Amino acid sequence: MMGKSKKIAGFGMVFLLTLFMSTNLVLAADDVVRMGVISPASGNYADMGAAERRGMIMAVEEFTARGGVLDKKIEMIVEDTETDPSAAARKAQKLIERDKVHFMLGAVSSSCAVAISEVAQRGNTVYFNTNTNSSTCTGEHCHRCNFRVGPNNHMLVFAVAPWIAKNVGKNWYFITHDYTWGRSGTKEFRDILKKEGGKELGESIIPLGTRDFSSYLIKIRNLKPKPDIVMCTIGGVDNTAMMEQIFEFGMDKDFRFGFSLRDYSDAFTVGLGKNIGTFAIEWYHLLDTPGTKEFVANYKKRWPDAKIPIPENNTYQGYIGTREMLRAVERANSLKTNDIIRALEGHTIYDNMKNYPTYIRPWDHQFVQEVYIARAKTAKEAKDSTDFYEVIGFMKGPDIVRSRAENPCKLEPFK
Amino acid sequence: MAEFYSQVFNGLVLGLLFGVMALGFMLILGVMEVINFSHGALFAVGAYFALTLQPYLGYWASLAIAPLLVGIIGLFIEWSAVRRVYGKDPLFGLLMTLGMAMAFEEIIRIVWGKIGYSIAAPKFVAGPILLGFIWYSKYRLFMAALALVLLGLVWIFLEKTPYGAIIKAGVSDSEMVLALGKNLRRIRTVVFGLGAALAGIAGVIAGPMWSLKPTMGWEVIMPAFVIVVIGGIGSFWGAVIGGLIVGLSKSLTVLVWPRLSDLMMYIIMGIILVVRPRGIMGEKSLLEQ
Repeated sequence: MMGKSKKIAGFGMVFLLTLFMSTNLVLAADDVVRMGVISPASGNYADMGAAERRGMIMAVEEFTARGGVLDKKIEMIVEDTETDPSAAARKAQKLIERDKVHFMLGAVSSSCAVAISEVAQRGNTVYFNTNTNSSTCTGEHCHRCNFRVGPNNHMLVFAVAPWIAKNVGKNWYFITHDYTWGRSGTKEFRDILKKEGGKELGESIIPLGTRDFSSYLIKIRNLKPKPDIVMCTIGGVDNTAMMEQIFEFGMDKDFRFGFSLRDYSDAFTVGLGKNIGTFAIEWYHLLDTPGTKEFVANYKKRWPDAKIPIPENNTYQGYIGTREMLRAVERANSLKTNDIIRALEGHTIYDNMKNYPTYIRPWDHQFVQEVYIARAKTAKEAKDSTDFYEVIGFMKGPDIVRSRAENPCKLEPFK
Repeated sequence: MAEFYSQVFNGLVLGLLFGVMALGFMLILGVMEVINFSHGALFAVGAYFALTLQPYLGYWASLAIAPLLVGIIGLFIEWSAVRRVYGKDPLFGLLMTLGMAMAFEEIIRIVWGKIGYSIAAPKFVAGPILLGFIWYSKYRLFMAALALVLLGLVWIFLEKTPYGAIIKAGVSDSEMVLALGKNLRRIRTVVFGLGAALAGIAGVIAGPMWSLKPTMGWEVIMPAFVIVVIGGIGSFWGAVIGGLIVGLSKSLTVLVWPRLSDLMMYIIMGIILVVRPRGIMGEKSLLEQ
């Protein structure tokens, strides 16, 4: 019996060893640029992951049509984060060690981005985290190898909340999701309210996983005095459930609701008419900004069967992120991590489909960019089936971003 | 005061739905002495069936057919597995159904995916309605009416039909029912199917209110359990009263201290267990045996 099991173990070892060696051998070739995409294809954010990958593919195809980057073919190696930080870290490690990618992009979930960026820093591989918002990714958890393509929470809140205080009113009620992101969102709203000299009328703290908001909505309905606006920091399925119930209880007519960020795909899921509130958005396909129309047209040509027929904010970031990464490689004329990072730090992007240029801050690697203030359109106001927002205004990046004194970020020295 | 009345009203409406959710659970526990942890999963399956069926069959047909399918699944579960644990330590049944609940959750993930869905409320009850003291959701009023009808039907079945009489007798003394020559085996299968169908229909009704996700069953099983402990095992009115108490406790706690709203029902359960372990209307208690 012993002999047999030893034999099996031996076979197993040989098999594993061959497998390991063959993958390493196959991937050693160096006439291609290997781009690691680490993005959710399953889990809570699967749809947003698909949206960002569509943008990434568009950027890669544009470079490929012009002959690749540094005269090399671009190869995309895609891994699924499963919207789970531990899986994300494992896959990032695989991309760096086994696939030997030159750089990585993707995330959607902030907690995945934190995990991936730590692995990227250890493996000294440039990583663009796309479509995340937690301020910590370019704050406490910032890294030399990590760049954030989208605006962070602080920027979103400081874009929309002062506008609301000035134009809607200063009597606020808060709805807070009972976990880190929710509480920090309300804290930031509260700070702004204090600064603007407004009045807090109370707070409902919503346990994570709440599906029934009726009691909370009834409570708000009976508040005296009536709040000018209800500021909500509530995410995920809970948020879409709440929006539907706001509509169900007719609160959309008599009350105003403010949010830090609206993702286009959430608005799309809830649908025209039930999409409510005033909020910040990262980008919008109907913006009157240079290059936007062409980008939308290209998207429609490339993805005629996509569930969402226009590029949304996740697609925008996937595209801009990939394009800027490849451009940085060209500027650096190198695939070495430190060269790419140096080409990125302090760089300004002019053709960003926004009004003002985007600036990559050298000391925290935040893409400093303008953020739009928008309001949900009613079904009647919408010009077509994709027209969900009325863009009310925008805030320039430098006016809303955390200053160096406010940001605890300290980047590691170059490796 | 307007807010107080509004919250009481809302609590009662929620309570009726909780009552329907707990009733099937209670019947199975009462007749078989099996703590059916797959009850929540069957609730979820009902909601997902409705999601799939509604575009083809419309609201009313799927309201009838989805629970029927869940009931058939219930019959199959009882026939293939649950009947093997009758008369054994309650822990066996609990573990078996817990495993089933997990399996169902995974099956939902495989079939419908991990992403949440929302079901639209039927058009004729979409939007709000002014009830004098409160703007209320039309769908929830409709839901309360449906729950009342369902509770009424189950009550008639239990109280006014010979079959109901046998089931009630089975709850209070299953050996005696067997001794009287009744086919206890078939009765148990029917009760399990009925309990599953009740879970399914509660899922269909609650779907538009709570949105769908694979784990939604777990949010139901604990309230159902608490309601049965509060109301008492084996009593129709126990499930109804327990449901109303849990509904009211949730909505009224929001008035005073919102963070306590999920905890309140457990506190009430604790008090009931100390003061009257068999529950408010209970005729017997697992704890007292």
